[in-house]
Amino acid sequence: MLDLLNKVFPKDNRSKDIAKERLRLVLVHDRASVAPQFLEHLKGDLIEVISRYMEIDDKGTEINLTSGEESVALVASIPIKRMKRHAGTW
Amino acid sequence: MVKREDVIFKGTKTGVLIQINSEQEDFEVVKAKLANRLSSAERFLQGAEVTIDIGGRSLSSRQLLELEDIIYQRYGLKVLKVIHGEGGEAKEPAGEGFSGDKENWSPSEGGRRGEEVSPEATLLVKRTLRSGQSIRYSGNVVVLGDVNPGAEVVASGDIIVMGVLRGVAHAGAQGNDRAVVAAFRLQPTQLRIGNYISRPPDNESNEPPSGPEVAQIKNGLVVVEAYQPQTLSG
Amino acid sequence: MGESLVITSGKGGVGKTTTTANLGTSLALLGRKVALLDADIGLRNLDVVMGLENRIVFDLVDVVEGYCRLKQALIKDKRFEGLYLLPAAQTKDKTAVSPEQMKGVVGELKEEFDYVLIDSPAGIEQGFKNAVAGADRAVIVTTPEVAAVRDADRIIGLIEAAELPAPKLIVNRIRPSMVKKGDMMDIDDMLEILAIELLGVVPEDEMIVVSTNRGEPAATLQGSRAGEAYRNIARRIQGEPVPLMSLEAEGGLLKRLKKLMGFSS
Repeated sequence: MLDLLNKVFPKDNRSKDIAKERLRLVLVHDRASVAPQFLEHLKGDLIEVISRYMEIDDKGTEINLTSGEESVALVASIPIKRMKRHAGTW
Repeated sequence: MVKREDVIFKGTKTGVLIQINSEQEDFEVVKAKLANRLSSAERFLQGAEVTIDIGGRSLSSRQLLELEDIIYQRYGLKVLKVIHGEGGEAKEPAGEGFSGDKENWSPSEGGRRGEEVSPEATLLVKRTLRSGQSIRYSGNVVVLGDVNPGAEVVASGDIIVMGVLRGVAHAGAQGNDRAVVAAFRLQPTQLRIGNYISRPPDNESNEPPSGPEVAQIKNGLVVVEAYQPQTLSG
Repeated sequence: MGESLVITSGKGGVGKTTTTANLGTSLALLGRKVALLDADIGLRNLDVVMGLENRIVFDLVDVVEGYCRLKQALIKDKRFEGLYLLPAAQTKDKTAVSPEQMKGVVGELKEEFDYVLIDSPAGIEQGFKNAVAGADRAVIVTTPEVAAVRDADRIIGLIEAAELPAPKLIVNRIRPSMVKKGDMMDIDDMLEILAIELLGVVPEDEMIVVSTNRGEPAATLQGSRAGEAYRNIARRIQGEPVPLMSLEAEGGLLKRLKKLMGFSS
């Protein structure tokens, strides 16, 4: 019976896809929380890159991983002080 | 005794007696010394039942709990009772005393300490020894229970198991080849007597015997025989 | 000078000890000199899986504490030329050995043996750290389950942090018929997630239970699929390119049905 169902709904009901998706989500969390410095590093790099284009308040900058039902998102709040007139190198 | 230690271990008929001697010392210092002595003697204390002798000290119940905590939680020793010895002086016959350094026994060490063993010193273990538990005693050991695979009993004298011996037993561990191992059911992983080591034959077809047996050294071999009252007479 | 490999997993019960025993036996069958080292102090099992439990006199802790020489503690497996076991202590705990001491013991073994296989305890605490301390490279064992793969990922991170070369993966207990049905993650799923190189795949095999009961590694049994997989992995460890065993052989009812009905998958 299950075989038949699998054939009718080949993709959605396969438990291995559920397993894989759950694993993917849990690993995003695990990998991010393994190194507490991870977000700090990321923040440093982001500030460095964005500073090339605009002046930002690096003390007010916050970045976080948030997870919803089915996805994990990187949320950054970066207050801008001033846009640079000649952004970048062009 | 040249210098009295602050924490002393003694073998007694009921297990191990831990004497805490210094009376004026700070409780924290005593605790640290106890933990320190326990960790250095862990090897031979394992699985022992312990009586704490706090001498003339008076300890609050919280302090007693802390001591028991160290002994039980950290080292897995069962605390039987706490006593106030008279002035903390040892009452046990000298022959039964044993100190932490005997954990250095090894089967090849020979009988150097053998003469210290009083023939009467016998430790009664009233429980089953499970995997990972080990009894080491300077004297005879009687187990009222089983000795499971992965458990071991090491004694300088004889070993008697009033149950099934499935683990390792080493009798005459300080080189006494005349020691014996007896068990209600003798199915050891390995048997050692004095400097001899033996294990059951590899073919597993052997039906385990259904009665008590005794192992001893005869003509340089570990021989296992059915127990009969006269087996040990010679 | 030989090479040391730690067999580890993070999660318990995925088959580290079985893998260590079978790879050691397979390498010995290939003519290599192999030392198996049980690093699971306090919960040793490799001796039982190898059927050598009644021959233990001294153990790893005795060696480290200087009660005996390394050679006295090594148990020779009389069935396979060149195979030896250094058992763990059962009546001690993990703290009886330090990472430095493990390095010393493994270093000494590497002088005598072509391969030193270290059976790591589960977990990421002291016992794991000890097991990794003496290793030149690491083999990660996992099963096709969310929890096992997740723990494997954590372990891979720790192995990388310990600056060992990138570890390789053994996927144990795969059930081809369930993979076919889509009820078990397949190899590609796991490799995609873990992003490490595959060393081998071992199918679920009832003969493993039988061989463990007897204390004879399955690698010695000709009819055992798992045994065959382990022999192949041993050859890959030696550097031989051995293609992955086909898991199609027992391709379940569904596959045959699909064929009959003209499905293509």
